[in-house]
Amino acid sequence: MTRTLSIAQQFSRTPGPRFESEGQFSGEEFRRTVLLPLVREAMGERSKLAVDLDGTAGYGTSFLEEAFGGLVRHDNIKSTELLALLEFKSNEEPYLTEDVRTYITEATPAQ
Amino acid sequence: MAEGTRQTLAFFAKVARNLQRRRPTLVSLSRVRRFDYDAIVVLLSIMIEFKRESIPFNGSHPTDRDVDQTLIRSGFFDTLYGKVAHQDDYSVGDENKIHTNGRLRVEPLLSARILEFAAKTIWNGTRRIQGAQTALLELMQNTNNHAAREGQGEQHWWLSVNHHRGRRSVAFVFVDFGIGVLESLDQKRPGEKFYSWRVLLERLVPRRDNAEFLKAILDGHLHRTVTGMPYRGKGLPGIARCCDRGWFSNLLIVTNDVYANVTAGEYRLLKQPFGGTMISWTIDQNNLSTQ
Repeated sequence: MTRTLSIAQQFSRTPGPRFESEGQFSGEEFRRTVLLPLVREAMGERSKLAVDLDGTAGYGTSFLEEAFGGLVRHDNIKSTELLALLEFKSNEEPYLTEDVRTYITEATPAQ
Repeated sequence: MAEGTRQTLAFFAKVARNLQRRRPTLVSLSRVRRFDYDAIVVLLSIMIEFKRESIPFNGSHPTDRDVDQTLIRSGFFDTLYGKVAHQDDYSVGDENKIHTNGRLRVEPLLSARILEFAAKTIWNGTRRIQGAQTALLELMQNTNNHAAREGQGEQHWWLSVNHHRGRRSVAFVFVDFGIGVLESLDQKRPGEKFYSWRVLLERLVPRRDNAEFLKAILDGHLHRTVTGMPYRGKGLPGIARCCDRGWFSNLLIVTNDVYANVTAGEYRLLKQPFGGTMISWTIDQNNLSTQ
């Protein structure tokens, strides 16, 4: 089974900065309120989570890094597990899918 | 500003010195024969700081009527001499013609709305210009995180948008009057990712001046050298990458003592450093968008 997540439809058409303190619709808020619960559910079900990146006004790299790299850094999920769990789709900006995978690979758990 | 960079930046540097020394200042514009919009925005951002610091200032209008009208239409005088107290948010001018916003935080809704207006001028319809939104978010984030000496979120960013309806193009100018890209890197401390960045880049860049360094940074070499990983679009190089992909054109960056016409591949040193960062680009029908 594959769960789906559309950032534009389930979070915001205008994703914003890295942290909540910096402005609206941050990567931190997205990770905490939308992404992490869905990742946990998908892990519990041993299903995939397909993330649709299309439909937004555009992303700052900090948003994407904090949202997806933050799962490794703050939520102690292994990057290998995440890369096996998540599938990314972007017809509008195809390069984003590889960018996000790299953010996950480069992230290291907080000490 | 691009056409008279040296003289214009020398003028701004002088006004900025007065600001730092808290000197009452008379800004005489009477002999100005041309005032590009990016120069107006930079001057406005400096003069707002005079107002914020309650340092007395005054000035004269350009005697050239057309130049004066450009200045008046930009909202420059209304902002400086109106009864507007210092505030976090500024909105100057007409959203459909020339419009300037000054903010402290990262504002994705505002930049998306500005780009929607731009798309109407360029394509006469509703389109998204994701790469331009990415660039604006990177710049707002950089200003919020790095531009101030004192601390995070204390430096205004300024975004001016000029709609050229006849040409179906829109010009964007983003300014922060902070410490600039290179000085910001110089202030990294031991343990921070880009600490001793000059030493690292000197291994790659033989000529070792700031113009060459900025080019290397924009090309992603600094990120690759520090992390050993392929570059993935963060920060200033990400903006150059959005330009390369065709989301906008004519990318110009002035920061510290470097003038970079990125699109033309021209990087040179300035005798009068610009204390901050000014970035401009244009969007027209040849650029990318999504319906």
